[in-house]
Amino acid sequence: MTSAANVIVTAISISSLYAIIAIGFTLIFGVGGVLNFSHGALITIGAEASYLLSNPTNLGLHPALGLVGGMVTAAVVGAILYLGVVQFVEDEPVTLLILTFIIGFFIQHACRVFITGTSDFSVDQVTPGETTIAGVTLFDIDIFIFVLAAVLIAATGVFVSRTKTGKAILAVSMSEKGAAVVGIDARKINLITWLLASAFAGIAGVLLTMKQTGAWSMGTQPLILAFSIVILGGLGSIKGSVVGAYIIGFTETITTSYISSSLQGFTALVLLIVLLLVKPEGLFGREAA
Amino acid sequence: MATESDESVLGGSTSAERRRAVLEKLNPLEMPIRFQLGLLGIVGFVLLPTQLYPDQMGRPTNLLFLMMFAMSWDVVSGYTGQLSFGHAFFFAVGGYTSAILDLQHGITPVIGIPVGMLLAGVGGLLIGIPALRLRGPYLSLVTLIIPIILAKLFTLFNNSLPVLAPEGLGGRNGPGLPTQLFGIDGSGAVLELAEGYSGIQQTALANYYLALGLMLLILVVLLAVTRSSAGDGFPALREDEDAVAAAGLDASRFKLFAFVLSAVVGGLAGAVWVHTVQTPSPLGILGQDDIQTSIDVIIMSILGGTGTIVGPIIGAVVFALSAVVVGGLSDVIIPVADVAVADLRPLPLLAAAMATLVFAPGGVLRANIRLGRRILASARGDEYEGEPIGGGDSALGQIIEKYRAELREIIDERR
Repeated sequence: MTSAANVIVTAISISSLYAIIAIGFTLIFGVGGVLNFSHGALITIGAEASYLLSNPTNLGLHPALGLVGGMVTAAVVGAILYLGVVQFVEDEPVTLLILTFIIGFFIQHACRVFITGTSDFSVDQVTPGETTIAGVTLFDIDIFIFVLAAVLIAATGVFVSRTKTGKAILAVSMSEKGAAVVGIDARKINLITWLLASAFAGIAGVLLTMKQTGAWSMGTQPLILAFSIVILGGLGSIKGSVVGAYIIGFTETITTSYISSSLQGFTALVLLIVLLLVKPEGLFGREAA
Repeated sequence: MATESDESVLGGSTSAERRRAVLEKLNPLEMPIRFQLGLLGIVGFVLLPTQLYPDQMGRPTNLLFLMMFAMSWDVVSGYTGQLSFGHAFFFAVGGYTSAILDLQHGITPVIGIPVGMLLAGVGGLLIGIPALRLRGPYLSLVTLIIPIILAKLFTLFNNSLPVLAPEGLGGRNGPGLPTQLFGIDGSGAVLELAEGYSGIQQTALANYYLALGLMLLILVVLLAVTRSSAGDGFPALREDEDAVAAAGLDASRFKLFAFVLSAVVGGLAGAVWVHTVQTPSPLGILGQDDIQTSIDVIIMSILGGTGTIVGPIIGAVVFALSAVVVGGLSDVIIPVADVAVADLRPLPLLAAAMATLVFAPGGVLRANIRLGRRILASARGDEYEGEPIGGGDSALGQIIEKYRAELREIIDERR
């Protein structure tokens, strides 16, 4: 039987991953008004890249390089998506919605056809092993995920509120016209947002693979959860995404650990539908970003 | 008002004149070319089995079901602009209801299919009512996750669901193979046909023609509804909801009607599907990750042209043909990557869908009608004026407008 402490640690580490996925999703929505359904595919990209780089049957590099490589590859693909497709249809949300969905499928199927096929794959953990703290044994990878996610979330917060580029991102998300008036290049800001969000998705993909296993279609489930989290927290709100991620992550982990493992991905979604019907605007309205 | 418009369309006031006018309208030689092509297509479908072996009939039969699903999607999403990302929910409700009634309650599919259809209609109400309150992205999310929740329920009530399904919903494998509508002698099917090979032949033909008949029936019904005064409200909703309300029409009633109609059609097709050529299981009905079928249906409709009912049929044909063509290229190897073209599926199709979305948002049907008119005009020596180009003129363009407005509302109120 799993101890309560272990359940909480798993919940924290899973929620942290969901949070960085959801932040990327919500940033792209907040800044460009785009619901990016290919976000899940970027998770797959990160995972596949790290598999190519650090799995012993491939290049066999250190897992940390795989992590960086996954992040960079996903960021590059995200940038290509924005520059090559999204910026041309930015004003047509439905086209974009369906298009990103189809692109997402395309990328995932391409990964299946050209890289890993239908079988699961694994990547060595950056921090293998366990640590015992106050009588509770924890996997180091969980600690690593939590710390890295916390750093990324904090860094995003600082970046957005303190740096010039970050403030420009906020400005574009508030009003594209206003931002244009003060000389901000919305296209450049959008590109930076896509780079950032895709890099986060890539990191999440690598970490998910390290914690569990990877598969060509691994991005779909997190995408749906990220969408749920973002709606739960309020479309376009960073704070809402983090809180939403922890609510969904904890609900999911606790129900699967204590009630039944077949409830995975069920309770959270039902919870979301109920909330959506009661409070359609989400827990937090749209704040600054 | 109805009689007035009848007269103006058909010309003539006495019933004899009117009948003659109707007959004239139905004379294939007098029809516009696109109707003639449509008729030709139907004739092609009727004659198709003469060119195939029984074991090749599965795909075309499946294609007919995909057409029904795509039409079902088009009624609610193409016409009223409420984008559904999880339409396979309705197909699954219809299919599972009928299959479980048959397997676990011993009720014949002849009764089970209508019950499945009704239950899907109830499902349409259950989603349609909350959909009235939800705007664009939120509705998309709800519809996206509903089939996923349904699939989880199948797993959760794997072994038993009290009263409704005593032996359970069967998890990922499905509840088992229900009684078939047609089968060879002694197979226990509803209608037992001849023995041996000729029985297999007859079964394949019976399944095919049943699906074809059902597809045509649904086509006629949906065309009749969407072109009737009741259906006029559908595109109006897509264009301008406030105007519909201002005209004293109940917008929510139209939306709900569209949802239920679509669900009933989808449920009917889903129910017949599991008793002919498809096994009821999450993978069979809902598809990969429980969302593939729903997305395929959207892709087909977009390929053919949304908001036309006929478009999705053509889209489904394109969809199926591309699978056949690409699947046939198993000997053609792509250099460098060392992958056979056939193994690329579904990449070429997804690429085609992307291209259609970007370059011909009205779909293949509209693009070709326009092209055809231009060719005819130049054959006559005229200049084809064309229709106003731009997003606004196609159904998809209007859906986009509606969605954009809703998105703007959401963004604005958060500020």
